[in-house]
Amino acid sequence: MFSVISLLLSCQRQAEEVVIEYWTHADEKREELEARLIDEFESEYPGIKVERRVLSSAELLDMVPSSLEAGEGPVLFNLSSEEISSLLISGALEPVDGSILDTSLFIDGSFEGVTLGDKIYGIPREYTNWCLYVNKAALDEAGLPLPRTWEDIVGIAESLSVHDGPILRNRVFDFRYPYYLTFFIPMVEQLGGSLVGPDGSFVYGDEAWIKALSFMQEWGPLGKNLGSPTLVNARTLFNTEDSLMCLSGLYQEERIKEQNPEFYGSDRWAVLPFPVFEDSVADVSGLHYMHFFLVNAARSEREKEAGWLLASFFVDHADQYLEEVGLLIPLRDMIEGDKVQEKPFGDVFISDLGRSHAVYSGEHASEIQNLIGEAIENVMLRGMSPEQAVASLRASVNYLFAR
Amino acid sequence: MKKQKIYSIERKQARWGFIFTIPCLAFFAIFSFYPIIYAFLTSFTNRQAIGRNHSFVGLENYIYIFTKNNGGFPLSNSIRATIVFTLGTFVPMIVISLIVAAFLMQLRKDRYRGFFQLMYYMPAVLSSVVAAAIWMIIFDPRGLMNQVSNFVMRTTGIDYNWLVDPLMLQVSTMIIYFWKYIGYFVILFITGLASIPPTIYEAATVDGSSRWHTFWRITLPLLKPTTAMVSIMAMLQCLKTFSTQFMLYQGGSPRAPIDVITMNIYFTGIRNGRLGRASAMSIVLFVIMLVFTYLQLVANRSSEDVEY
Repeated sequence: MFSVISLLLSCQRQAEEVVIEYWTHADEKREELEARLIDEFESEYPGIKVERRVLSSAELLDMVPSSLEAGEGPVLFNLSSEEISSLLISGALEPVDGSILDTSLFIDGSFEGVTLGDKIYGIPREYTNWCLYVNKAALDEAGLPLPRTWEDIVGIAESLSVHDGPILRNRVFDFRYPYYLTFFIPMVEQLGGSLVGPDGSFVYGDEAWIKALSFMQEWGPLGKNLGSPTLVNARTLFNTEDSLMCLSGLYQEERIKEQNPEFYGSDRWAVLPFPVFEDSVADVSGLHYMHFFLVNAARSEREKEAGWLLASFFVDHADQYLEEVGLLIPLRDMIEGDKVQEKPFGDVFISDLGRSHAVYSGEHASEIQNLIGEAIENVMLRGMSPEQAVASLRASVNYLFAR
Repeated sequence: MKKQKIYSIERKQARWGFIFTIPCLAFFAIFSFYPIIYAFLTSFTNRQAIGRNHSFVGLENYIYIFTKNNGGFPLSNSIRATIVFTLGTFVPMIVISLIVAAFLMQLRKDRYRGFFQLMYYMPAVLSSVVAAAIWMIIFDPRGLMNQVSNFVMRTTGIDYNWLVDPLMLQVSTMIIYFWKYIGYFVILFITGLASIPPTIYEAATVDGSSRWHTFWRITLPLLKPTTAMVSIMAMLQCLKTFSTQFMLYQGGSPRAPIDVITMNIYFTGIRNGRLGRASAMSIVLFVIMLVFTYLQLVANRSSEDVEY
């Protein structure tokens, strides 16, 4: 009799089980942590089953909008600040359940990219700014000082890059090419321009844009040939000491630790503030961006509820995200407390945040980033004049906003 | 009294033939005809990705894609890139796959032929992502291609900018595609060559025809139906090319020189969310493919007369 009742109960439980499909981009360190957290979550909430699906960043950008368009898609997913606006405007995202979110726990501006009207549509999971990782030992050995400006970096690259005729055999530093809103816009701002001007127009301050693009042209294969968007990511090479400098976030430290523990444990590397131009008119560091947990508005009420529950469960483990993955969740306790400062060079990241602001996350942010990339690639790889590239970029951005 | 209908055997067979094609027709109707019709209808709307509301805009999308620069990526450039790629790829691919197939048919031992067929076909089973990753390494400034180019051109240390220079970048996409698909067309040609009755060659040999003469006067004319089919298939595949260009673009190469129509459709529809405009582009591609196929069919019309 009891077995019949327990069978019936288990059938009922199975019928009530909610499955949350959670899509996220690849990150080995985070995968380990989230797999463990999901196990804990499932034991705490036995009626909820989580299916975590890992996609490359590019796949995530393609698959989330197209699956939502088809009325399908995951319950919970994450996207970075500049990729959210079109989903937000279209109504594809579910507002955060107010009962699970205490916004006062987060630092100011945490919900900038996911607020529409008086509603909040996402919970921040990562708060990242980039600083300059340097192989201090290699620079010391070459008798070169630590760089402070972009011109210093060019000087170091000219001294230490290895060329075989016109073929670049070994790079010293290179930019994070597809992420132009994060590293290139602050370079423009340092020179007095901006993406959005005070009058609301895009690509503001021709002179600054032309100067920044000229710098990139000089850097590329048609100039001094010190780097190129077609080469392997310098950030990856830094971990194995095959590149001497790179731009990256705090999370890079955990990756160095994983890939090259000996280098991580040594004093041969350091993190320096985001460089500036010698003739900068504004002290701006790498712009900060966030990754948000987002919930698909087209799913059932139970699924959405469970999705937010999982997102808030993840955020409740902010300490572990910082310790194990090097990801900073923008909670006041985390930013203002000692935990980040205790990480190697954590103070550099925190101090650079004071010179930073959020990346542009308004309408068409993702397309604008692609267009800036096109302008940079045109000057670096096709020899287009910076003046022409700026004019073309402005026209293309204006096209996005035209009906 | 009702008269019972009497069907001929041919008619009965035709009826069964039709019944057996129903699954195939249903498959094509659902997965090919329906999307084409849907894309055609969408091309007359201002539909955006995710947005649920859209309205009829007539020919606005078509006028736009032919007269405006589509945010720096005009359709005219995409048509140019597609045609350059198609001509640069499918013509050498047809010629060389025919030559390779003819050589393989000359191999006396089947196992050698099988081995080479397998070797040529292998790249076709690789995913485009893997193929592009392999070629990105080969085209790297320090990679094999620069070394080979320097050896062939008798230069030293020149960077031929395979992934950077607009012209070289287009050549790179052609090389990758050629490498990946030549085996497939070699197999098709081998099938065509194998279907030519050996008695014809025996008669030619008895009449004192040389190998070269036999190839030009017997093999090529009898291979016309296969050549027509292979060239149409190769051309259509080249016109639809996407992944090779997309992977190189993802790897940091500039988009404009290799912005083929399918890639422009992808960026306009998926990345920029303008589904109406992207649908109009896809209809333009469909029409281009239709026109080219018709021209090829007309050019090869006499091929249907071949009989053994």
